Amino acid sequence: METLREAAARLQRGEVTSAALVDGALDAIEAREGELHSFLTLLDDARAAAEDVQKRRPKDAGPLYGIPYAAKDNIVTRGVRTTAASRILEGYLPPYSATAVERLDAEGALLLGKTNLDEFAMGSSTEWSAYGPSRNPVDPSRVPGGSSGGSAVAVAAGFCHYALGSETGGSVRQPAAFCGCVGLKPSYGRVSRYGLIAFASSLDQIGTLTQDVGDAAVVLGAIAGRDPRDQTSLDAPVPDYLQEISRGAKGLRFGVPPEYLAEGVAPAVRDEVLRAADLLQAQGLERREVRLPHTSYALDAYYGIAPAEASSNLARFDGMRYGPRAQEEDLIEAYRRSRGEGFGPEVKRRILLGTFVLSAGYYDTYYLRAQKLRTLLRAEFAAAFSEVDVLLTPTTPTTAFAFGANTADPLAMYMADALTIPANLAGLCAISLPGRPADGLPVGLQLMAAPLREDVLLRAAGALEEAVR
Amino acid sequence: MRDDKIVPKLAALARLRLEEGEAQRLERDLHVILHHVERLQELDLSQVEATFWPIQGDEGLRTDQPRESLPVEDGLGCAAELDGRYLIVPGMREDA
Repeated sequence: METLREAAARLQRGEVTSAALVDGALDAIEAREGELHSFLTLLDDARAAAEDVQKRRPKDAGPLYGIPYAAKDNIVTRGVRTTAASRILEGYLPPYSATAVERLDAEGALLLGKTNLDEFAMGSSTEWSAYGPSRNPVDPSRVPGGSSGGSAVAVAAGFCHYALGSETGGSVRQPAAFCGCVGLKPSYGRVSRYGLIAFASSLDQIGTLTQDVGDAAVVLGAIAGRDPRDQTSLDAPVPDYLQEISRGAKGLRFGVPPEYLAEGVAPAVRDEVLRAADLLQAQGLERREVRLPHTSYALDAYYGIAPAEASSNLARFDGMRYGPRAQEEDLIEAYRRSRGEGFGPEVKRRILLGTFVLSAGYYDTYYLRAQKLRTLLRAEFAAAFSEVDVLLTPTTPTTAFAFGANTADPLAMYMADALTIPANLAGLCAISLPGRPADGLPVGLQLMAAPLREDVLLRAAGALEEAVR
Repeated sequence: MRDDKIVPKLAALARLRLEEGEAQRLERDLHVILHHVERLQELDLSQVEATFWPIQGDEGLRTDQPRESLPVEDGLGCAAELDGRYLIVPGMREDA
């Protein structure tokens, strides 16, 4: 599929209309959506909206103007059904839009629909969606990854030019790796979380799924920046990321931490990362040794932190203010039944886990220790980024797995995020881009950079993308 | 975590009704996951401060002044039952 920049150039030259782009998207969806199930909602008025923006197209229209995109269904959209793939939000029509969506609206972007996810973004395969899983467009017998699986499928299958996703422990990068597209997780605080349905507030971040690195730069530039409605969004300058990529990456320093190539990483994935390291060196980047010795504890810390925050955030879903309410005479029974019937198995598992680690007698042992490990990880990354500009690792230990392979074993499912979680715990920016496939399945190459250094991250990613091609 | 009654207690705290068999499955899952998280006990973290947020420093408080916000009617628009600007909810049983 063409990039959004190519589509923007064609629109600018008058070779195509926005309505034609939407028609093309709807044709592609018609052909494969029945098999892939990437959308939970498709907007009825997308074509009419395309005609409208076409008529109003200003002379100085930006690159996103009139181009269709999709948003993960845990990002609220005014008047458009938003479910977070949960029964507990059935029928919810948000009265406001997320800041990221508003910013895309302001650029003239066209929302095509809302994409599937694991319920409340808790999962790595979309198998925990209350509305059924999405399928990997490269091999529909395999999962697309998750939780932003629907967004990754929509982009990889050519249903739309780009999509918004969200990350808590790798939910943009992991499905991007499994489906063979580019997934960018911005630094914590780079993009407003206003309107992103909260899972773990100290980890959540809206990210992008795109056809290439340049498109990630364009979309990030549109959604990044301080938002007074999110006190954790940072007032940091937002560079012209596309221009940054054009500077090239020669002279940047990179490292390949051996802890990310340890046991559990498939040989084909490891080989591809080592090949990518050679390619970066050939592009003029300098390779240095780095160590991140506490990496293997990151997954443990994540499951001491994320469920705790989730159990608190999901307390608001009680059947009273939105979603179906169970008919009970007693308030507490109404809460218990509304939540028991409304939440799926993975969400219940995490709520109970979070309730446990926050309870008296266990807080210090689990939750506090996990937050202390986070300090060690941050310190290790800070030391590494004093030596190198970016880190190169696999995005995932393996390529996309088969349906049902991990649903009975939560730990096996959680391992799919083992290499992406550290960046979330430390608030880094990170990106996954496709390497050379292994046995016909996409392999994700991950780059990580220091907080707010998306400029350096995208320069290195641009160089690696060019070399891999 | 070795308490057989822990899942019902947690479910009561979390206001979650579990079906027959669900508690046993969750008990097993939680045991396996927490056993993994217990690996953190291998580390001496006694001198390490906790990090609760990935960004440090004071982002400042917003000024205390009225500003545009969501109309109440819009905010309550998806509620199950309303009486004007009030949510109608079931009562509390005294023996609950």
